[in-house]
Amino acid sequence: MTIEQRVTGFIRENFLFSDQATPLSPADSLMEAGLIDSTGVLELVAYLEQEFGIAMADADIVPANLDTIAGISAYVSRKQSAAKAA
Amino acid sequence: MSEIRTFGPDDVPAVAAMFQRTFRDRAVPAPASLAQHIGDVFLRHPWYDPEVASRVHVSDAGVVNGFIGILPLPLVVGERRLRSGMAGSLMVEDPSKDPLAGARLLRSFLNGPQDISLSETANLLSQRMWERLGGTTVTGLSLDWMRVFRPAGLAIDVASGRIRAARLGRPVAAMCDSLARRAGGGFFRATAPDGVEGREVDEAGLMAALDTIPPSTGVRPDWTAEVLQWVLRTAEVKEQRGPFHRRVMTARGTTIGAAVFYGEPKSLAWVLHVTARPGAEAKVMEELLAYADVTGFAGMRGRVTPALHETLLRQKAFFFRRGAFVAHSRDPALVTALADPAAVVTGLAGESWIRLIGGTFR
Repeated sequence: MTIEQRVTGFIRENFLFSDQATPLSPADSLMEAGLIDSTGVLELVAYLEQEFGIAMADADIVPANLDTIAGISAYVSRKQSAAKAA
Repeated sequence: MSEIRTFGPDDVPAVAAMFQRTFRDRAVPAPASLAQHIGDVFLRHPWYDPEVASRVHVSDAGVVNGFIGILPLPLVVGERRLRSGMAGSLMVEDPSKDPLAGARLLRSFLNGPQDISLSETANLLSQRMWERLGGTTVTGLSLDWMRVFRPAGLAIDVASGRIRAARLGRPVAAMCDSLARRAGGGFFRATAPDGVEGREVDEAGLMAALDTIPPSTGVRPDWTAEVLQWVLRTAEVKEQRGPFHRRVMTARGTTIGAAVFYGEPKSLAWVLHVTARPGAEAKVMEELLAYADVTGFAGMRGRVTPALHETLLRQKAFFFRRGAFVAHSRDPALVTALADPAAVVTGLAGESWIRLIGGTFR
């Protein structure tokens, strides 16, 4: 599974309560849709750190990295690439 | 790019203004006394620790739009000294614009170098955030107690907090209470314990008494006389709570406990702190309640501590939930130690003594 698919699965399971009918595209704003708030984002961060073995700095917890599935996937890819390059 | 950074003196006006808009009257500018107090407790605290300090969230535009207040709290458990911080006053200006700011502020604090992070005033949202970050709710410390002596008077006191004219109902309430106390078969009366004497004392008297009470064997603040005196002086004035009282209890000439509380007769007394020699908790609490009853208070309330739990129930106090006490540590044993009846982490050790709770800044 791709990063995008795994993140989508997590969001559906935890924030949509496994509802498969609700449309959820990679570019949808999770905050505008009310799916993620200040508590939800902490759950998401914990998932990303555990699932993908990355460490998120406080400065990385910004909408640009976490507001869309596409943004989250791109962020995780960048972190994994940086870790491999190091 | 938005950022989290340590709260500094230059941030005080912005944080005071945000506190005024968030928790007080939006239409009125923050009084200078509010800014002064915020600076006092979060920057000029004698235990100030720059690594376990308050933080601000700064928006993309460079504006301070979030704050988490951290009170430094060195703790002792057994022979071990702990670095700790008590968090409160978490606020974000217009969270809909920056929904991640609160989470970032709290996460930044919990990722700090302290051994244990605490908050005793977490609302439901904050409590969930703490738990998402691996924190634990300490249920035994998350309750308030209230003992009612004059139910009608208490109702008037609570109502007059919202409608001043409600005070006009006090004479009628006094008659109702007189009848209720006669008909209630002693239910509303608090009885003083045999062999215990209590007296109101000044600051020196309280400090001298506290000095004679052996420290708890559980988790407790690493008090020095200077810091305790500074905290007590800072806590002295809470206009919304009433005058500050210091009471010391003795038995056969030995100090067995002390309490500090706010309030004036006919209203509700707010207990900030109760301390007692091991085994004397019941006598100290009974004396305090009896004094409040005889003095004419409508009721008395405070924070439940495990050491006083059973005594308060026997004294016909009822318990209710206010804010949650939450704790976070990489060492689970430290969190477990907080639930021990010997732990002393509320009241003067907590956040409730600061004037942001119960103070009127004009």
